[in-house]
Amino acid sequence: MAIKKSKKDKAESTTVGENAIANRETEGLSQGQIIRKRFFQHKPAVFSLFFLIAITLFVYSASGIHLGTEHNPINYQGWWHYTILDLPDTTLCGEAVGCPTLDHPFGQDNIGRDFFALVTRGTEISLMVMVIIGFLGGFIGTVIGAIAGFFGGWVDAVLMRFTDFIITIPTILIGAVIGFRVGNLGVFVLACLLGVFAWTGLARLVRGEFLSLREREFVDAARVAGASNFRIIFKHILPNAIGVIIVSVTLALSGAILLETALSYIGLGVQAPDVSLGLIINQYQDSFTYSPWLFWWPGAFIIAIALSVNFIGDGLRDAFDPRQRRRIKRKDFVLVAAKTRPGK
Amino acid sequence: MLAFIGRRISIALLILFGSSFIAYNLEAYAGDPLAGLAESTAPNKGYLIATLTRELQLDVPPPARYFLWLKGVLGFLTGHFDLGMSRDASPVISQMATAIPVTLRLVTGATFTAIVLGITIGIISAIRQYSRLDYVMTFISFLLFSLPVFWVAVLLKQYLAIGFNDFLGHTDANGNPQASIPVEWIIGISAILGVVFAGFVSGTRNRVLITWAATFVLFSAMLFGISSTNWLLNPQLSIVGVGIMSIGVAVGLTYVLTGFENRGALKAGLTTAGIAIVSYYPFQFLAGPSTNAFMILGLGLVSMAIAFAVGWFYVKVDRGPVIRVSMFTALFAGFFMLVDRIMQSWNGYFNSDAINRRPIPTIGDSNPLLMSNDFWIQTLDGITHVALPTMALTLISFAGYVRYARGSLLEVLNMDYIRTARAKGLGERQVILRHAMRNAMIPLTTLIAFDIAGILGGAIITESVFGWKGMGTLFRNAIGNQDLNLFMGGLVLTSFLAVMANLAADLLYSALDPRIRIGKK
Amino acid sequence: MKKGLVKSVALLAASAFGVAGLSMAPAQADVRSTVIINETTAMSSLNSGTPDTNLVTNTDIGSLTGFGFYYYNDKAALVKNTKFGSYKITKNTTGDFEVTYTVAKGKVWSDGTPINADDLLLSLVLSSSDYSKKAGLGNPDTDTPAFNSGGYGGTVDNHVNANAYDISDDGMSVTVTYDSYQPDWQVLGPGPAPVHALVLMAAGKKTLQKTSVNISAKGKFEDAFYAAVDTEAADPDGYDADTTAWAKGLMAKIGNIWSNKYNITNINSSTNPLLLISNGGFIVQSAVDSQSVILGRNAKYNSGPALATSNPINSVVFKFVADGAPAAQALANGDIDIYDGQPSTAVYQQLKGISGATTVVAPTMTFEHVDLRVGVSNSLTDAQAAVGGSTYTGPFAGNSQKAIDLRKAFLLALPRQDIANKEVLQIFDPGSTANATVLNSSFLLPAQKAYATLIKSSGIAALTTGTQAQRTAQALALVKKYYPSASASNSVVDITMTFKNNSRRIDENALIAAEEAKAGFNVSRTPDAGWSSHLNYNSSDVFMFAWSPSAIAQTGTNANFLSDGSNNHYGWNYPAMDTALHALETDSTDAAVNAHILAAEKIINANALTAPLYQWPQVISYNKSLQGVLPAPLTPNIVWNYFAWHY
Repeated sequence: MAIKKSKKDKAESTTVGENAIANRETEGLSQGQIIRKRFFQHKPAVFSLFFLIAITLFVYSASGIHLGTEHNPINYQGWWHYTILDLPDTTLCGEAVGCPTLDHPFGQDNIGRDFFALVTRGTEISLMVMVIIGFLGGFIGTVIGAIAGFFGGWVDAVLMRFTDFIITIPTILIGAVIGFRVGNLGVFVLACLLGVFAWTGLARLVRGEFLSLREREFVDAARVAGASNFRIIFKHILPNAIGVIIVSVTLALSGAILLETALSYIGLGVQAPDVSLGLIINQYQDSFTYSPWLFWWPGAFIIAIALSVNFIGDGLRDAFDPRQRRRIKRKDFVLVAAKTRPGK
Repeated sequence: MLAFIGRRISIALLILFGSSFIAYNLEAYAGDPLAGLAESTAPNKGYLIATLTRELQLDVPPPARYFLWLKGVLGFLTGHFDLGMSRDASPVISQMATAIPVTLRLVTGATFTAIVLGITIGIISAIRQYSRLDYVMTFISFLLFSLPVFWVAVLLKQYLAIGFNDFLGHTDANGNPQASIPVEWIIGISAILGVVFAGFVSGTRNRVLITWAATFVLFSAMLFGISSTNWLLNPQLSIVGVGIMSIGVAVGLTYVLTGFENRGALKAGLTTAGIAIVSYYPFQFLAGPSTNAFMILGLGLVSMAIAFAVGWFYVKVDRGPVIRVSMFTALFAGFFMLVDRIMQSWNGYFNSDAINRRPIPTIGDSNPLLMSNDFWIQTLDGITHVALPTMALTLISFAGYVRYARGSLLEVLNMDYIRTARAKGLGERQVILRHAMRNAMIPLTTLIAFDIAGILGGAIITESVFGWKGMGTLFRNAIGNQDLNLFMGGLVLTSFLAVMANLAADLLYSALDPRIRIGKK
Repeated sequence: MKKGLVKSVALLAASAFGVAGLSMAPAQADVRSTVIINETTAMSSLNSGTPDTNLVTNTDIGSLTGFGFYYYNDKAALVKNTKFGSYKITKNTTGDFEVTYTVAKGKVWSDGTPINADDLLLSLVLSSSDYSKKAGLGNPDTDTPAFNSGGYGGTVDNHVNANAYDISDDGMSVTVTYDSYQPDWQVLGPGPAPVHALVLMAAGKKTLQKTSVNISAKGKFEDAFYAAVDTEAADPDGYDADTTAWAKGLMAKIGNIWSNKYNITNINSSTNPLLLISNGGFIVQSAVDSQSVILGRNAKYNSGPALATSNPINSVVFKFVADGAPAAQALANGDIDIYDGQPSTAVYQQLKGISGATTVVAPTMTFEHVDLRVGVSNSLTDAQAAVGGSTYTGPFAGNSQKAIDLRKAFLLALPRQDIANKEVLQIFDPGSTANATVLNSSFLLPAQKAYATLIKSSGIAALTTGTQAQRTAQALALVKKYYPSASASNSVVDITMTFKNNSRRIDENALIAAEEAKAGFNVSRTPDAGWSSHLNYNSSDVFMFAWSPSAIAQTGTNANFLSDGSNNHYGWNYPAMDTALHALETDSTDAAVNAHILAAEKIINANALTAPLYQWPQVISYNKSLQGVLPAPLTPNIVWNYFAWHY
């Protein structure tokens, strides 16, 4: 079926023959196929996905891979001919120094660092931070939510009060402790520690989902067939809740990149010599009138990434939940929002 | 129910105890309280270090120090509640008492604007799912959602404060101030607004183009009028503007809330608008410079009462919607009058010494030099100061509500009972406003409960870039200066509210959705 | 329908806007009479004398409301305020050193009360722990005294006793007796405080009183001041137990008021006016907590240079904005009149681009420097030893030839000129190819007379001759003596550097690491947010931060280099240096002072202990129509000459 047609159908679907269209669209397809098909019908999401992959490949290939500790670095140099440690001479152009040239397409900062190298490396680290916080938070949130929701009773009460407890500890405090005590351990540790505190919204969401799913017939069927609790949780219920989880993880991902930016603003995020988009954008936020390239480039990358992730999330949401049926329990879906826009 | 609440509150207290203990130790672990002296070459540095060590009880290990602090907090049991002193020798309670109203002023406005705006756009977006409008709204809301707030703040200050003030401050050849808008701006703004309005209509290309052209012409004319009369230097709506807008609102509200077939509602709305017009001049007399907020509030209540009476007397059956139309009309008409009254103070404000023809400030929450006792000038000063930060906060946070309102409404629209409602022949307006909206708003209320509880946490970055000293700044300073007592004061308040909001959300949800029963797992 | 609605609303709006009628009379362009100053921290107290309230903002406001015997000018030179009074050494013999301070006649507080010697007495109470102990006001060393002053423990405290202040018969002079010659005697003297206000507040007064009442209150203070430390043994005739008990009680009460009652941040018509009494050009009128403080003219001001009379300043407003970038935009928008800060290049350019503002760059007293660890700090705590180790075994440890050579090599390869150029000059003039002033002494600043001669023979020349490339080559040669495999592309000596995580230090570290690598040093690049508490860590070899002196004092640098100095975190221990520095504490001639500074500098350079980098530049940007603003390197920086300001 042509995509164009299906789009038109969808637009009309709110008023006429919904079931017929829904059935026609999904006839003879497995769930995975349906999801994939629906996702690829969501053009902005598909575009965003390719765009995000392109950005990722671009920055990682440009700046290379840099791991290890300070005195034992593991470095694979990318194709870009400057690193963030190089301090080439700056050139004057009008009132400013380091404006974009062929050699430095994004310009240079005031001590001469190549801004393209800084931005690509910053993007690389921001992506890493984003992925670690998102997935670590996603993992912990899923496990805690699944256990609380599946077992209910006192297990649920204890885990949910523990969640309340974590909510009351402000992120800025975590940032301060990390910055002061383990700032020199690098971004990896920073991202992991932040991830450890960034799961509360998801846990509530998954819990709600499990609370309703565990009452369904297929769970009883599995139990009668002799499946263990572990198996029921991970093999039977979890696949049914995966849509919700993926959607909220994508939201958490774009939240993470803004969280890191916000922490950098108050000096508590990624620490030099590492760079991140948050750190760069914060460092050059006052360059707006004087050397605008230092202001716009990191901002453009942050916006591009956050925007792509959001659109991908939107696409996944539609794909997993084609008609916004009762897959996502509304109450819990909304609660996750409390944690999704940090950095006011 | 009561037992459930009691149990939850006692658990909440335990959680607060645990989290305050952890937070206290983390914060003690997160900085060097003597850092300020590190670069000093003062001859009595040793004495100063010893004094601070003694005052801040640095010789007591943090876990033990926590209990010294807790003793003061638990003092409320004996009537001696004490959050201690901050490092600059003022009581923490008084610092919080100053910070809380500031934050309330900043974040409350922004939160409510974001909620109203976000939900409205979300609803429109959902109704027009997969339309041009939906795509544009989705894109815009995601874009705004992706912006770092300090970045937005820099741009807003540059263009809306500095740029706008420069524009207002310029004079013509004779040195007279003037506010004429350049033609290219008039065209540009009108064209953009045209696109926005054209986005709202659905249908054929022709219809869209006509809407665009109509909007473009209208706004061009309006902006030209504003420009040529220097309206921005001396803005007012006058009785004519207030009257026309009130009537417009009465008509519009009737359409949205009841439909034109309800003649009683239309008449009631128009009557209320008429009363508003008649009371324009009496209002000018009552709302002199020496008026105060209570007076305005009183007038508001009186007008509500009148509007209620109008609604009540117009129809005999099904009074609810009619009274609603009447009262909302009164509310809007009153708002227009207030706006008009504030506008009348603009000229005096703008030309006062303190303002010096630069009305939009980039920092601070009030102009300390404005020694005016004029209620309206004070109000205007508050508005100009709160404008930019509110805008920044609203811009970055309303997108979330758009997404959730849209998602929630779409979900409801696909439910069986909506199909039933449509099947029995109800109009689209009634289906959406009466049936779908109510249920769609249930989950949003819990989100709102959380956000409102979060208001007092302040907006650290926004407060910081706009130079507001609210709870966010208090937190930031407390952490930066290792001011443990100050930090804990803020923390106790915000975490208490967070836990309570959680409880409130659970209760609220079960109250709104009878299918959910509290306490039953 | 929707379209129709939209249309009609737009139509309504258009017609509504169209009715604007009234034309506006042009506002007259009044001459401004207000100065709005940006401060990064909010005012926390009207009294900047306690350890908790000794903040820049409080001090700045205090300097507008109080004038004493001297002030520092824009050249960091001490200027005697002869309007207020005079002071001179009246006795200088071994073991007996006296300075007499005389208040000029006719000086008054803002409430009209005449100022006399009684108003100087409080200074002793605030700086002598001996007085505090004897008057029963508490021992500042062990607990919080009644006067919780930040003045205890300093030079005055070490050299005066409770009876050091002697008032003259005419009541206008105070003679201060020290136990030995004090080279910095000029800045140790008393300053005026409205003691009558303290006494009146102790009596529960909440309004300004008649002059006669005020004068008798002053008398009471004088009586209490002396009686509180009176003993039968010292004064068998005059001692009266009841009077002394009364005096101690009154002083304790006053102490409580002095320490606490001035800590107000909201000031309005209901504030006790006794708290606001001033002898400076301005008097605090109102304040809003965390937002602003407004000062108006003190009509009775005569304690200092006369205020400018043409287009005068009638009010000074302090607005509190924490961050630099918002402050620059605020200046551009006219929200403030004076910006005072340490901007980045971008902010500086933004300031310079503001058409209505004048922007000036000037050096401050604060200077950046790099210290090298030699041994274990004299103040190492167990906790610090647990983290950083109890001994220092890094490449710079000890005074062996190898350690000295490596330290020299490190300092040689330190790109001091490049850092100064980038952090001082090019911030303000990006294209500049000129060389910025590098600081070459740890004791003197370039503006001081003896500086030029000092640096010629202090040994610093090794770090200034030749180009950086040549010096780095010398450094590499020194490193190669001990590490033959070292080369410009092979860094073999790992150096851990401790520095703060702000962009200035991070940039400097980047420049240093890049250049040191060419000399074989592999310098760490991780900043340390907790640097201030890690200065004793033996795990770190190099430390970079700034010293920020608050006064020019002959002995001001001693704490940095004495083997037991409180700022010597690096195990520097050289008897000859201790001798020279102790001599500075008693030297009274320039020649002797310079000789001892030279001796100390020679030891520093011969052992390669530290290298100063540059003086921090400060940027003042102010409303173009405001006249007379001059940046000053010492507190109270920008407001030091408020009396000369006018539009």
